[in-house]
Amino acid sequence: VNPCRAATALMVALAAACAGSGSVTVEQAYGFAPPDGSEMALYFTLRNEGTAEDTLIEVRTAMSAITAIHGSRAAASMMQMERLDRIPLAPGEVVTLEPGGAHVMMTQLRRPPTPGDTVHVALRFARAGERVIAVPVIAYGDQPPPEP
Amino acid sequence: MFTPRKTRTLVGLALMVGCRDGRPPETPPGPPAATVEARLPAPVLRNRLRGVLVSPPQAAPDFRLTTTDGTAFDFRRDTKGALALLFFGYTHCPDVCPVHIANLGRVIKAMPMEDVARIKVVFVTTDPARDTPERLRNWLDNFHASFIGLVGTEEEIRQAQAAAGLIPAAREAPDSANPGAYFVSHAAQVIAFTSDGLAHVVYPFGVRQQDWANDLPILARGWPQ
Repeated sequence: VNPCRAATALMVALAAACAGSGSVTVEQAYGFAPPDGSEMALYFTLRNEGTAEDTLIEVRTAMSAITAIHGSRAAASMMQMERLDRIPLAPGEVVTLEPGGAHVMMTQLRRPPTPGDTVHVALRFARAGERVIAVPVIAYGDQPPPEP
Repeated sequence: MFTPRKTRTLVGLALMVGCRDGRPPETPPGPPAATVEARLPAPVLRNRLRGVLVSPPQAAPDFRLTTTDGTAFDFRRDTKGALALLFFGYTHCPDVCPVHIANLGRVIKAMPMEDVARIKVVFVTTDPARDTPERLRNWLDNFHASFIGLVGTEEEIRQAQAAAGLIPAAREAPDSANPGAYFVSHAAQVIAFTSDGLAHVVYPFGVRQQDWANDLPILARGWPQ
């Protein structure tokens, strides 16, 4: 056994183990069908089950030209919206995106989804890597579907 | 790496210890809940309204705008005797506005006709540059065809918000990723003016369909009961 090659292999294995140490689950995803076909909001719950901090850094979908993380927040009786570049997740932390708070906003929709459709969305995390989720589309006023 | 979780656990333990060492947990200053409840107006208390109390009650605003079909709308004159639910928002809002308005629409659709006939939902755009009458009508029809959409000039809409006691909505800087788009910050409460021409309660964002279902029949049948 070439000691140098073995050491390299060990380092590669360690690096892979570190890269895979992130463990984030995505649950309870749903999106509202856009009433006029222009903007669509998605919501889900992130659960960092790993032992290290992780961060949601990007959201992509083939359905829209622009996909961004936005946050609504109430300030002095006004509801404001701002762009969030990332969502940090401490170990053990559960973050729920919900109406009136953080959400994923899709704009310039290529084909506006209607209730009953499913949208596939890729979430990229700094440690846990990429997760592709299937998001059921519901109508505004509907309750999110129960987790299967 | 492990510090945040450990810190939180320690804080949690400290709080639990604080509760267990014989002293009662600290209570916020102010009168006990029973005293606060006793101060509520009798109709609010009796009916268990879930809206947020406006004290003193607020008079219906005096403003004139234009409906989506082009006719003049005088808020006081054209909502007289009805339960008028007034909201300011915009159709490019994907989060707060459609959730709030859709909840209202769902509950109204399930109400008996005689109650629905007494309710006027008035949605004033805070984004007249993008909300054409056609666009606003189409958007509102998704939630309830009876909802009244109002448009006007930026100045007329600003005056209407001021008359309703609200901080006027403001257009924010364009989104860096999407320069053609922009957000509009706006008041998020529905103000409920009853047939006496006064608002006794408002409904901030977060009100659920069961809350509307509880309050709307009470408010629609006249105030006070």
